[in-house]
Amino acid sequence: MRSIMQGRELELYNKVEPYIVYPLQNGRGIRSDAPPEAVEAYEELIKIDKAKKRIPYDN
Amino acid sequence: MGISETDNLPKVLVVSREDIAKTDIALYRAIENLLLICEDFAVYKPQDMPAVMKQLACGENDLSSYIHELYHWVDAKEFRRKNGAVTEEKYDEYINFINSKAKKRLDKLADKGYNILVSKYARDKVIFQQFYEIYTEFRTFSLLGGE
Repeated sequence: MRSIMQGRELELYNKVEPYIVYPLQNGRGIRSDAPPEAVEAYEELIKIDKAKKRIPYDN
Repeated sequence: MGISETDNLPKVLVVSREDIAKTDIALYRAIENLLLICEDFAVYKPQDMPAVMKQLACGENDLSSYIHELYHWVDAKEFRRKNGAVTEEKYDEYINFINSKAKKRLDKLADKGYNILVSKYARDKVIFQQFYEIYTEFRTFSLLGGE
């Protein structure tokens, strides 16, 4: 799948982007020294993604 | 892309914005072997690139979304060869298969020092640990010679 971010998701992503890391750190894709506001944005993004009602068989 | 035979290539459907989620550009449906692309992104010249394509690897090239989705088809083909058809019952197994394979390849690339996060979309997918999307963006970038 290819999709784009917009609105609230893009706003949150922009807070997280400087701290996104690969390989993962402590099983997460955010640097372990990321500031609290970036961690909050990261967690909110995950919540939003889980709440999305997507067609389950697309990739 | 390493495609040596054209058997079972996916059917490509150009669909209207209303037919798919409003943020989707293109997608591959492994169960039905369908590649869907939104009409707004199906054909364009680099100078007319829709602005949102900047979030994606080689977005200036209108083939990039087809190539990205065809890599998903390549991965699905490997799954089918080893495990049989992708079905609703086996969908989680299929996703775990391609995600695990992609992570192993990304780890090797990262060890070798490659920049594997080649687009905003790829970086976003780190958050959700969708390694198959990150690896597919990397392959698309590599094939199209992204800068």
